[in-house]
Amino acid sequence: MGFKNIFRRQDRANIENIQSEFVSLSSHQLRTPLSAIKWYAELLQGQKAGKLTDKQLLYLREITRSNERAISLVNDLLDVSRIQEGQIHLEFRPTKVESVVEEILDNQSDLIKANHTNVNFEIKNSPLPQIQTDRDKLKRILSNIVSNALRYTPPGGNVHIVIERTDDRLIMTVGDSGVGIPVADQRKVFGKFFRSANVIKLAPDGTGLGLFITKSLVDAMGGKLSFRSKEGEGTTFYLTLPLKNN
Amino acid sequence: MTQKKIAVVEDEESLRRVLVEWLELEGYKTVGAASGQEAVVMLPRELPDLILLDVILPELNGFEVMERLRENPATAKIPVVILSNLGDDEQRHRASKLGAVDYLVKAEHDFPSIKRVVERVLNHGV
Repeated sequence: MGFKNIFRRQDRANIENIQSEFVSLSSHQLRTPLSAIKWYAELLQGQKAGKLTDKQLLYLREITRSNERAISLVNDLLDVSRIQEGQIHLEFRPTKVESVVEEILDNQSDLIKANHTNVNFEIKNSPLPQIQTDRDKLKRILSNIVSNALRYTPPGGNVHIVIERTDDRLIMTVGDSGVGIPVADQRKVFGKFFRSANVIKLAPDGTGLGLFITKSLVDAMGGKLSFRSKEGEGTTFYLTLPLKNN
Repeated sequence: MTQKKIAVVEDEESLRRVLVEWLELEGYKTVGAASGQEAVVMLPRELPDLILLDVILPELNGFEVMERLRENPATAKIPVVILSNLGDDEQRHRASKLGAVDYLVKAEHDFPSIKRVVERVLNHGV
């Protein structure tokens, strides 16, 4: 008999709450040692405590990379536990969407350079006026979509970002010339812990939580997220968010 | 130009030490406190130009420390940047209501990004 059948629905809900609380507590606690690793590694890398050999620097980069992976796993788990507890609160404030996208591209600049990706960022009806939205959540959503496009597009490929504002909506499309999502996987990509075989090959470091979180945040903001994809040719994500009156 | 003084209120010794050492390498004077109680005694005496404040602290938590600072005219205007493990909307909201100028979540910020915030606050106050 499976685990799920043993418990009544109320018990299951309680267990999920306890699980979620446990994940939240332990993830918060993990941030202390992860910060210590991150910052001491940075101090070493600055070489103020002594000069490092090329090999030591290489090892240090590997420590940093693995630590960053652990940090993003913690962030993803915390987001998932918030979503499961229904704890997504929206805080609307005036936001410049262009600057959000520019920050995201700036954060991804190492990957863009390393892969020689041609990134094209287009704003229809420019300049875009400020909108009232939850800036942090918008950034998380866009950042996930853009970073997927960059990570799953082989070197020399293209990523095209378009933003358009209508009277009552913000419409954003992110298209890439990447590996695409196999047809059989397309209905699973918004699920938890799911990753297609072709993306695991290209970028082994993912948690499979990014699109689940993204879709949940878009839903919480009353928006819509969909995509079109062809394996081997690329993927385009379509995001629509309703706008409050300014 | 006088050297600016930054207070690091952090109970985790390894984090307090790495922040203090880094800030000193960046040319700042530093003072550290390992608990909320130690902070409310030390800060009015040291009068730093900026406080990096953790939230989960023994004795008094970071928000209670902020309340005490605001009650004292000598410390009321010192800018506070929260540096915490907690990043939920509720904590951010509470920090901003108490007048924190920024809210950084640990592990999400590298030194260049903390430096940008520190310099912005020291130069422009917000």
